[in-house]
Amino acid sequence: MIKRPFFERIKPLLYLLPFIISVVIFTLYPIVNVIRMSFLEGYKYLTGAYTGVGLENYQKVFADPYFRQALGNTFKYVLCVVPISTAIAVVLANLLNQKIKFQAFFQTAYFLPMVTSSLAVGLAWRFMFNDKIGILNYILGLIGLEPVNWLGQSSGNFMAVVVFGIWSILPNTIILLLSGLQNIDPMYYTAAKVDGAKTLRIFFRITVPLLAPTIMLVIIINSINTFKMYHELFPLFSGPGVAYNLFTVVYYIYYEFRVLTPPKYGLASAAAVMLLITVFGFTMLQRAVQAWARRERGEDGKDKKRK
Amino acid sequence: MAKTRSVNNEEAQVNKEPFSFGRLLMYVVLIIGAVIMIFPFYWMITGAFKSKIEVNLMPPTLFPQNPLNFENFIYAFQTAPFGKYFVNSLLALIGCITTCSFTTILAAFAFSRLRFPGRELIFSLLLSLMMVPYEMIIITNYRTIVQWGLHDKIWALILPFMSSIFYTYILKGFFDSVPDSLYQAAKVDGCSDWKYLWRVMVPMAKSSLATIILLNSIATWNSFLWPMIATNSKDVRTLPFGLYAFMTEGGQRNERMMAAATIVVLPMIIIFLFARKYIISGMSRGGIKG
Amino acid sequence: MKIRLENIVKRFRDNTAVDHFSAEIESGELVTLLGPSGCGKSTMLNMLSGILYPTEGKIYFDEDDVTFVSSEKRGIGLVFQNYALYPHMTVLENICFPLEIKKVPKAERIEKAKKMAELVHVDTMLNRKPGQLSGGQQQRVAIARALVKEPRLLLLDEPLSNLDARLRIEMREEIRRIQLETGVTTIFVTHDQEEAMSISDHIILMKLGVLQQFDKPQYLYDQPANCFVADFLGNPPINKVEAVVKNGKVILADGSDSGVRLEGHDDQKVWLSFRSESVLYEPDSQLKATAIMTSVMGKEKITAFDLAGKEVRGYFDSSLDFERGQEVGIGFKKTGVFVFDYESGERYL
Repeated sequence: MIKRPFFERIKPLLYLLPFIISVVIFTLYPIVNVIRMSFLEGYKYLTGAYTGVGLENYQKVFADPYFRQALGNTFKYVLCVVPISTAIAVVLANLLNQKIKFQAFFQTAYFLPMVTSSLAVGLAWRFMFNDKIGILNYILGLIGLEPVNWLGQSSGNFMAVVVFGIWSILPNTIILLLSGLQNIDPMYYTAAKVDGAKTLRIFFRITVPLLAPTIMLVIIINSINTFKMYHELFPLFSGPGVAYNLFTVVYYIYYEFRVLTPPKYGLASAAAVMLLITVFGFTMLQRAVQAWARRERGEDGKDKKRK
Repeated sequence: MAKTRSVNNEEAQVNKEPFSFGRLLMYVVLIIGAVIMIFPFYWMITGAFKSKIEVNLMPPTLFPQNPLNFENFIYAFQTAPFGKYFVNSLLALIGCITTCSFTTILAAFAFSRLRFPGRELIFSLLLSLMMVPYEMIIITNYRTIVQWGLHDKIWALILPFMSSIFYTYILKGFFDSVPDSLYQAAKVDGCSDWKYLWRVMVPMAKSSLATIILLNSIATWNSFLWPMIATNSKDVRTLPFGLYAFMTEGGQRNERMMAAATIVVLPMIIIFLFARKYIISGMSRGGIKG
Repeated sequence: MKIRLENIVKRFRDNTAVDHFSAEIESGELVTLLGPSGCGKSTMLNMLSGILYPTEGKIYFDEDDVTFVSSEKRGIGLVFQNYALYPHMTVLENICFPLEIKKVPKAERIEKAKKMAELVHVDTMLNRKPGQLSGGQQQRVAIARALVKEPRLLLLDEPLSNLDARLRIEMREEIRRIQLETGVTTIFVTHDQEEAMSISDHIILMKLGVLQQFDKPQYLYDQPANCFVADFLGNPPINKVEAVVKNGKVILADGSDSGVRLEGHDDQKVWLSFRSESVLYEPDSQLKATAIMTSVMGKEKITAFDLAGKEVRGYFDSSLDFERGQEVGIGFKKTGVFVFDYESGERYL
């Protein structure tokens, strides 16, 4: 082989340079830096000085009642939002996957929340949640239920953020499930229909089992996303609920480094590292599910060939 | 037979669906769902046209009494510089799209076509970075921006988003699908890599690029936390941050807030109505990423 | 332009794709690289175009050593199996593109492109996009694009394999016409022997990276260098019967004498191969074959026989009629009958 000239060899580097520089400064370095800061004790942000290296920040975070509360709220939120939104989305995705009229209208309606500012829409929800003049309490009244103090007392405002959370996450969930549904070979439905299976039976015996890998995937992805919940708190409550009762893990991070003065970088970093570990765990799970799903599909492919 | 629906799409194209109770129920569920999804937007926009008295009426009015009542919009533009916010949002958008598209095109091409040692390894490492929560990165980026003296400058909204691993991943996927023979044909003609990229690859990747630009626009336009962290003064606020400030600083008059929220949301609704297919296909790829 | 290939070797890791390949191609000829898939013909073409560089050996264009010269400096035109037209450019823009890169002034390149489009008969569709053309039309555009920069060498990589049977015949005649009109030295890669036979001045037949024979098409058919060449060319395929040489006679497996004589290879196991048109009807012959089936093909008919346990075919005048199961005496013409070594395929007769 001949040697490629020097310029030829460094050329790929020139193409990559702007991208790599930016990734290193704004993605890679921040990750390394946060991990580093999480282990520094008595870290002074302005001077960069620190008194030692250790797990002090982590101990402090775990001892912090706000963080414990945040952890509890976050898990409660994930456990409420993920199953409900997934169940609703499975039904709606199946209906949207049928040959339906007004496809454009339904797509617009169901997917609009994905492109609009969650802050602006959250304000509309805040308006709807209003305990005196909000339309939600009016509707509850119409069907004979007690009004809920959505934005005030603690149990009510957790419900509010769950409702808003489910509504927000539905479009993305439906889209993921739809692409899973479109991967199912229609021959299974034809076969089931030839055997005389009715709609509901087809749904529970054919669609749901074949969609199972996608559903698992959706549950994991949604768990990751809901675990990072804190955006929703700003429009609804302008902060972490009423009297700090809705602290979440990510809000805690934000609070430690941006709301507090002086900021507690160490605590924010330690919490962020724990967040990373959690997300990493979920992601590994996701990879495993994806690999499993691929294997399942691969065997399907062989079946077809055998025919 | 009357009750069974055709689930098979191909078959449904051939056979006309007979009317059935099951199908009716399906539409009822779909419509209820659609109403729930769309109602907050409806309530926001109609609320923006209501007067102070009307907005506090119980039962609420489903349609504004005076649909041409623009006083809430006028108030919003007068008390908070929403015009200025709009321009800032637009500047940030243009800045992000141009810089990010540029780095993305170059990087995707390098990862897809140029040969260099460790290419696959580097790319898979980059992909694994995608899972890192943005909230973790923000801590240091805030400090970087402050250290560079960019705090409260429009560049603070652009620089950290100059590159995107995810968009590079999408575009590389498209570049990979272009047959090698096209590249070889151009090489035989003496076309340089640079010229091949801009004359052949980029024009061919129009629809992938459109998807990337749309997703990028949506993300930038709606971005709220980073602007709130990285900027402060009214001169550099973008629309969502401006809206948030309007809410916390300007009292809590619902009808005025709805007007301001409408200003933020409307451009994206319009874009969505025109580019729905691109956006949906892009979003569905977004969800699958690792 | 004359091309000289000297001892070309191309290895991919442990796999040798081309093995000590040497050939000289005369200026202005159309030479076909023929062989089954995996024979190294595409690798050979890629080395001629400069997409790949050989591991060993030298490539000369006239007297220039171009072994490691990059594609764009070789002055070649390349046509791909899938055409490789730029989908976002019109036909005219596609044809102009190579000239644009060479920085030919705009007016001149449009003029040249139009002339080329006329030559390949696509001048009525200059403003269409490749997606709006049929396969044959796309192929014409691809040829025009390859020729517009007036290459010294035109390389065609299985250019007809994506076309249907009728278009394939039409396009191969077109390629030959265009090649003769421009006089450009052309190398054509295919796995289709009929295609190769019909358009080439010379054919290079390859197997597993090794050159088997480099000759005029008819000579390849009449005088195959080895068993592989004989097997590869001809439709219906050449008949092959196992035999042993005894006292200069080629004796078939059932002990009957084929009537073919071969000196100097006594007691060797061989293949007796013969073309279907070399079979003669000789009622008195000692050599008998059992008729199995006859198909009429116009003025001739082709009959399948069982000859010493192998099925063979022969052409006969349509006036002859054989019943199924009938024993027929056959003999062979002087031409189109070969004897090959059973193992190596080396030709003895």
